[in-house]
Amino acid sequence: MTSGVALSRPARALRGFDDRLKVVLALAYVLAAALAPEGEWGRLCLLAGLLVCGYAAASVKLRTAVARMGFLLPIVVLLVLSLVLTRPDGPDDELGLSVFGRPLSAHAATHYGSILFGASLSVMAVALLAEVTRFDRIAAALGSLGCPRVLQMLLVVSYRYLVVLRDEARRMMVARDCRGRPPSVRMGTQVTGGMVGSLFVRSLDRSERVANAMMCRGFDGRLPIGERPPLRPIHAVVTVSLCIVIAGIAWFPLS
Amino acid sequence: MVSAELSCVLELRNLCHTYPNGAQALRGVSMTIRAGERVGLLGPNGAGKSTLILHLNGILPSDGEVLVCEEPISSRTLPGIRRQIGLVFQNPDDQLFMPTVFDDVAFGLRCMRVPEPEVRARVDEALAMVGLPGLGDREPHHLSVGQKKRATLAGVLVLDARILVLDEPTAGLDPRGRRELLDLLASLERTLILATHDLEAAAELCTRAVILDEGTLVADGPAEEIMSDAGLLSEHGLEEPPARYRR
Repeated sequence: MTSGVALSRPARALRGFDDRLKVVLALAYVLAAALAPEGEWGRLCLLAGLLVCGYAAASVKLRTAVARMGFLLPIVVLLVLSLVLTRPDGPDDELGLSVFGRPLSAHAATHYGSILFGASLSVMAVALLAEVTRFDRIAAALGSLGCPRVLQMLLVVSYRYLVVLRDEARRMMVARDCRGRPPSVRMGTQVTGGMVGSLFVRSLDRSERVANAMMCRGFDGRLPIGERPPLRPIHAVVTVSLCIVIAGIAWFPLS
Repeated sequence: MVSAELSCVLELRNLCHTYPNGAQALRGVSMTIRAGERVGLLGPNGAGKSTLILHLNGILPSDGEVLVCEEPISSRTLPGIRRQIGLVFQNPDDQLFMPTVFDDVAFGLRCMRVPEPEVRARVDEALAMVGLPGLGDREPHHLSVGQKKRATLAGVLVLDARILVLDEPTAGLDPRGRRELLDLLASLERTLILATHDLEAAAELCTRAVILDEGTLVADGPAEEIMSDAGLLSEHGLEEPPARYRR
């Protein structure tokens, strides 16, 4: 989240917007981007424009979203592979490009391109949500929206301990590097495997201690959550309006 | 909130514990702790201190008897007992499991279904008491070790626990953090059990000392007397603290 910077009025408003409704908006956007008709690039570009407006209003730099695009790398690899392996349905379906002598299918390119475009927009929308809402509030909002408490609790505790695990992994790597780097790839793999195993065992131990600490303070299996603030009518109106706009862009017949 | 009614006692009768791997951690420990006492539970690593304090809260199943305010630990009495005994773990990261300091301190109260306005008031008071006012919105991993330790203490003080049990409270603290924590503990009017091998801290805070070694209670008496017995301390892997720390 942006901190230490004087925020504009829209940016403050967006951060102060009801967390539950921000989650609803993000989910609506993700659904629209994922389910928009295939190959209708105009609709996807309009959705992208809406998102750019969101980034501008929130005073969040687009490069923040670009950094999050790393999550898409496995999908990109799979889509490219699928595209290369898909045969055109005849000369009419040929894209006019070939890879390793294999002609690419125009239909497949449209199909996979739509998936990639939609996925990119979804990642950017979720990144924007994460930039303007603290994680604990996103988890609480998901709980308020009916997300099962077990899942909500898993999210909260995982988020809390990811940092601890990361720090522990870093300390182990420093300790490894202090004693010299493994001379071969094979030994390096063995050492890394050992470290991952050790991290897993430590996590198990820690989980037991955390469970003890929770029980000591009266935990009975239900994650206690604080008061839910009342829904402000203006926020609800804005959310409904934006959901209609998003749905309209994604599915309203253009011709 | 923190009106300490010093009327509780804690009694252990022939407490034994064997871990699933066969290691016998406690061998028939019996003792009584009176309300308002400050007891240093001393012993080397592996003496059974941490195991013993987990029994006080019913976390580990007892072979023997633990009575808190004359009530034996059972599934019926456990919720009340856990409110009376505030256990502070050695590693604060084990105890600060909620995403913000406020939510973590509020955890116990919310589990007890305390109304939210009261939760807010009591959490703010507890955070002020441990010297962390205004840090409720912080994420625990953004706190220093000393602040984390104080936040964990707030998490049990907020429950108005009558007996505070701290496992190695000074471990990992720099001198300033350690001093702040010791001053804070000294200011609390509670029954205090300090499991530690930091004898300087125990000498400063405790009136009574108990030495545990290999799961057996080997000495129990006034802290001044026990901590000046260099032979006894050395025999059980401890070292006499400098005279200036003793009460």
